[in-house]
Amino acid sequence: MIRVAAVGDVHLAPDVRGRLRPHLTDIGAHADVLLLAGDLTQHGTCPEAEVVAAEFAGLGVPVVAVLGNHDYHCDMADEITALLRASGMTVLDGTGVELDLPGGRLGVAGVKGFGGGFPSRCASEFGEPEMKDFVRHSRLLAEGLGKALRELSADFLVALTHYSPVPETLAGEPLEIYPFLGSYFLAEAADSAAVDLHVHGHAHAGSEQGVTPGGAPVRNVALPVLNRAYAVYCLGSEGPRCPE
Amino acid sequence: MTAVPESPFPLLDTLKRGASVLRAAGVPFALAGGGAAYARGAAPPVHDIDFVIREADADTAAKAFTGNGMRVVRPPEGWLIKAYDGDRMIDLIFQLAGHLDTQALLDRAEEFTVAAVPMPVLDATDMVIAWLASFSEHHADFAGTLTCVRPLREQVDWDRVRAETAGSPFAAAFLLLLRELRVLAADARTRADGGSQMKEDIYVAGQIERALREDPRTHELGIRVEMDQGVIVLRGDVASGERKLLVATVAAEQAAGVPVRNEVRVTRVQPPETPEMLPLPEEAAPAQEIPPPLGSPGGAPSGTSPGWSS
Repeated sequence: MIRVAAVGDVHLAPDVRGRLRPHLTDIGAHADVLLLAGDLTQHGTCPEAEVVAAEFAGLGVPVVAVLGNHDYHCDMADEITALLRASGMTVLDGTGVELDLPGGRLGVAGVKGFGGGFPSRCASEFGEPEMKDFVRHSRLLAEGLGKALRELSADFLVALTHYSPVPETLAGEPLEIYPFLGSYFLAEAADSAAVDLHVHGHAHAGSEQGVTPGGAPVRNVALPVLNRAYAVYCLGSEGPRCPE
Repeated sequence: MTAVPESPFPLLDTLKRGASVLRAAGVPFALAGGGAAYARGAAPPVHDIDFVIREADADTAAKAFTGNGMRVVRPPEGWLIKAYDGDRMIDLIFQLAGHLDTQALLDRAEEFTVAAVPMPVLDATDMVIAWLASFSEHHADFAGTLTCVRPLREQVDWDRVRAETAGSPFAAAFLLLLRELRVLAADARTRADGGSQMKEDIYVAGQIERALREDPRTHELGIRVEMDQGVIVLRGDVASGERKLLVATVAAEQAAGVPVRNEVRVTRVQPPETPEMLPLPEEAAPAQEIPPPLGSPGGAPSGTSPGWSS
């Protein structure tokens, strides 16, 4: 069994330095790995990323993150990524990582993801170039996630995104903004690799639990949804999954 | 000295004496407080007489009042001196609440004839800002200020009042009171008919939402802005109390004088709870035709999403 801790949308900045730290120091007693589902910073600056690095440094468990839209705002995503990596964090961007943990080998692939919406109410690559760019960005990121997931070889697979793969975990948000909160492309990518869990953030007013059309549990771990420092999901509580 | 018949408003004699002492001493000044409100159409002052002067002129002014037989006191507050015309008090203020630049106040003052003496009188907007900025936990009795503000309402730039008192919950409460009492009914926004009012409301709400998302002070995407009976209501979540206040400040700047009610929630961070076991037992994940209703927090996961397949 692998215990996966996850939280997203911590929106750290110097004004909330140490916001989660008191609850993180003993995380090793509760979890084998910590996933961060984007929006690590509030405005996407390097000083904020330094706060993030300090908040999650030296926890004794691997920390795997994706960036969110806030982390992109100041066009410093590369610098933020480098800074977080230098602090020991794994930052995924259409890539995957395999971790040998006490309960087995865990594969995590992650990407920020993007919007576009969900079938029967979604945008498509049609019309104005801006519209095509919008949807293409979402599709390409999701395709990167799918490819990274399928290349992993592990006992358990987890997809980590900022945007949501399904509408169910958005329940509580206004329906009108669903297309800005996620894309079914992400669920399609996760299902293409039959993940055991898909973790995302972004939807602060959403709900924690959902499921992909392929049956994988989806968890919205945005801090305002959890109202706790992190959630823990135990994979393989019924034994490791059978390889296909 | 010629005997003057007792005035029905003895403070007005003090007002005249104060103004003439300052003028004779060559000290730039402007009438403030209740006296200024009287000059601009309110009832005569009843408590004391306020003048604004520059801090650099405080010694000259003090000497001039002493020279005219008045007792001068320098209270520990440090932002004013007091002169006594018998038992009637004159405050000479060099740091008016809500205003950092005293020279700008004097520059904006307008000449009025008060009790037959021409003198500079503070700008009405500056007066209201000073009153609203002085409200606090220990000084929140609105009655006196309300009496002074009512007769001045059409002389006041309410957008500037709103913007310059944005950080004060007491000022926000007072402005809400003015609106509820229809004191601000002369405001173009409230005079508009229902249809165009609604249009205005929607545009103001849209403008505030955009500002909260795009202003570098906030970058808050999760704040919903709604109009509720003439009040802008902010709802959503932010990471800290400080960010909650910033949201109100940025919203107030765009609110065009409409009161703002800040119902934004500060996200709590509590310790982690019991882990969840995955996969779920079969019976806990039933196939479901209808998704959980909107707003149902943490609704049970459904087995399949309706209407779409990968």
